[in-house]
Amino acid sequence: MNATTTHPSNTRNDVVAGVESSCRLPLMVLFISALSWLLLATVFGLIASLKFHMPQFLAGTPNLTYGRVTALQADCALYGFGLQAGMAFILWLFVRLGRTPVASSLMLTIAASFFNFAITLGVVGVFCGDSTGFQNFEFPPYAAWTMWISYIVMGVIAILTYSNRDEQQTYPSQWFGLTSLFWFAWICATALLLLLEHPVRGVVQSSINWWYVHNLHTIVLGFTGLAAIFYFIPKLLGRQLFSRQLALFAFWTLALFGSWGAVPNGAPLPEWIPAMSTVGIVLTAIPIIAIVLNIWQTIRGHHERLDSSWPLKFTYVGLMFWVIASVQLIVGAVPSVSSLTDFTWFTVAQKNLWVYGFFALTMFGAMYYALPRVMGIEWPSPAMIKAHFWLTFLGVVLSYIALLVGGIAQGYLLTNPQNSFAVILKTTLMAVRVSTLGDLLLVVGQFAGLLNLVLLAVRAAGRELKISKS
Amino acid sequence: MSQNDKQNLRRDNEPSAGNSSVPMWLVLLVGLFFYWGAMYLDQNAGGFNSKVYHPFGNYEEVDAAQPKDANAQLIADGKRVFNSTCSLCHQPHGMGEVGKAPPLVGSEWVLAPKPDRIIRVVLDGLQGPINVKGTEWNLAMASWKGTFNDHQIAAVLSYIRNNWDNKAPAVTEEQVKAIRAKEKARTQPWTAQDLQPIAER
Amino acid sequence: MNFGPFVFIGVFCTMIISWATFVFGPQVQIGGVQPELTVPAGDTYPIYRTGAEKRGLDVYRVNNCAACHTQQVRPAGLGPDLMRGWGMRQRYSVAEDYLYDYPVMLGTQRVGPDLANVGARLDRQIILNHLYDARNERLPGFVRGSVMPPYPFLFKKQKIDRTPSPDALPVVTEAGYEIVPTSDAQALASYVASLRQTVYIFEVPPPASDKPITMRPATNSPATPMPAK
Repeated sequence: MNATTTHPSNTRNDVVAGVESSCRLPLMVLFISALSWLLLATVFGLIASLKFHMPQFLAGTPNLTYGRVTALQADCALYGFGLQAGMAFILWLFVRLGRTPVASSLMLTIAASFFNFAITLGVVGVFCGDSTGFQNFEFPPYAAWTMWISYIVMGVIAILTYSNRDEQQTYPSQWFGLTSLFWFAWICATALLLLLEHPVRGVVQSSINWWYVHNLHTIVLGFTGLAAIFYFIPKLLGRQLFSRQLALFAFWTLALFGSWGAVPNGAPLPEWIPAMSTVGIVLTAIPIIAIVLNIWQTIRGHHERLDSSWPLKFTYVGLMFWVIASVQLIVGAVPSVSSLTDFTWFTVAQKNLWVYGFFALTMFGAMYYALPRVMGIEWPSPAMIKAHFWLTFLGVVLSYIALLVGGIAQGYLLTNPQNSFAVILKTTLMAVRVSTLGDLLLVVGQFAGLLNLVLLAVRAAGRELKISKS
Repeated sequence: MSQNDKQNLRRDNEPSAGNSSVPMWLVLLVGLFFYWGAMYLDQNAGGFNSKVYHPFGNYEEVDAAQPKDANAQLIADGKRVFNSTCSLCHQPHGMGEVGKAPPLVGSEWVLAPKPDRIIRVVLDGLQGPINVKGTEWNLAMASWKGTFNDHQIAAVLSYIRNNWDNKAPAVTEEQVKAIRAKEKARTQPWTAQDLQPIAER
Repeated sequence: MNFGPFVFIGVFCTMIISWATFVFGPQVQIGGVQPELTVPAGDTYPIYRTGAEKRGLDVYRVNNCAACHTQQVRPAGLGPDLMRGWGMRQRYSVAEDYLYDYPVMLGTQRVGPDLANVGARLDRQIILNHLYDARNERLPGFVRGSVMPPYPFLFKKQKIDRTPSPDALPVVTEAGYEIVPTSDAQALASYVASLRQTVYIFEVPPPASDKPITMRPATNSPATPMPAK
């Protein structure tokens, strides 16, 4: 049923190792910078969270208003971490599954450096009051353009790597990865042109903004995470993915409906726009069912092997978070629910679970699996991997449950006009406090993860040095 | 270990995908969801009209919810009278036609603040030379006294005074009634000259 | 089997569907919206923001006030917004309300109250007081338990020059000095005070009932302002 392999097993491994070492430098650059941005994002998140306990906290600095800090938190996590970790994983996946060296390692590293320069530029821009004012698209035009162009360069190299592949048979993960690349190029170009360069009038801006944010989460990050899930769960269990057709089915239905942008019910747009958005989100139930069915059939009978390795554990927990966050998105799109939950902590909880729970965990899994093989070095500290997993997991769960409950309570209390706004705030403040604890755990966890990664890089550099000396 | 799994391991552990097909119930579920989606859009999409927001189901409902002008009914009635009778000469666009009738749009006769002259014209007709918007016309208009009642005449006058670009106070049934009573004795159509003594403001 | 081109074309099509629905469709339908006449008054709506109000929008954007404040009132049945007095009677927000804004900052979260119609609820001075410190009990309109951070950098302390400035806030931090809003604070307050959705247009016709249209009292300042003494 599969394409017959022309290489015998033992030489194949050598080929893979040789091929993979081609992406050493870019992968290291991408992962280290991704994790650094994630650490920064969680620090910003912690600062923002602390401002609820002490509104005066850092209030004197105009650069650190709550608004700017929350915006930076999201931007660092989405662009600095999300796109870079995603790019690193997709690239490695194309190299490994295609059995071909990366198209241009040097170009890729340069593009990655430019990408980081763009993010830095954007963060400094927002910090200094140059934000565009569009949610999750705050980077000023100069930074956003630089980011987009360097992403395109990286994306083209990834696609060239894909099309150079030696192994013609494709695996579902490759489709997901490829789509994620196309998609970001497209939505970011739309946002750049229609929000910044030739801004459309009035609320069409908001429609585009919602569409952009939704697509960035569900398709760009979502498909990357799903690529990791589809790859690692069968691979690390040593099983075959249950069904290619079912994966294909989920892929197309999710690409079709998952991209119908999350316009809140009751938004100041003609009724049909939020209605279409609700239908699109509810219809994503189909791909969710298909994916869960597919993975479940793959795992069936091998549940005990799920915690056999850290990468598998990361990926599997990431999958569970994906299911929860996706179902929550569907529930929150139904008008009778959204009237309570929209504009509360409920939606924040969903987004955090998506980025820090589902996406980040799957990418960590990919990183913990890929880097030792690419670098030919084991992780310096398995204990730190463990710490990274548990701190991230607990941080995400704690903050998620707190904000979810807090958001629902907030929604219910708001429906009674007798409850004054200050009273409602007081109630939700409890939830925010618990979530601050979660944010703190996240910061510590990301610190552990980054430290381990840096130690790995130092070891690798030391080895290179030794080799070049001898 | 199944045959597939062995094959899988031989391929350097890279996962492969099986060939099971999409289950039938899932395909049926898709149909069900599509049906729901269509129903939902039918009820909640406001006919995909840009003017329809939540509490309204379609454009007609929004239109119906507009605040009612007191004269709206009168003008609507007048439109019917105009289209069935007056538009034959004055034309549906109200611009008149050479050899048939002078224009109503922007006509100083139609838009006079006090409608006393134009009520008389409709009741008893008009003949002979008349100057409308700087142009001399010399045609004849029939009398409508016997055809239309006071309400219909008030309605059609209100309509022509408030349609196209015209904007002037509506004509009431009472005004028509009073003038009809006053000019009861008249048998001849009016001429522009006869109308001169009647106050316009 | 080579899925590459197949995936590319298919993905492109799905992308186009979503793009046409949420980017192109809205642009075609409401991208060219023109100012409308209000019902029943017949005035032109909306009005272009100029001067301080326009500059205030930039202060709002730069500090990302939209992180905590939305500017959209949902219709009855889709949220408690109208019930809470955030909008005028049955006056939900519609596309025309944001015609001239750039960027449009509808916001996604309500840590603070909705601001779509705040200009009709709060006067400019209270907005300035909230910017200085929403919880300061010496300032009229304070909110006990508010989590709105103070924005001290929008105000400056200056020596009283014979007569106190008319703009000075009724707080004393140091004898002989007064707290006055900077031009940024003035602009921001002007902008926020200009946020009003108080007229009815075709899309949101006035409610049918005969009752006169009146505003509910503001519900976002529950504590009765204490006399500033």
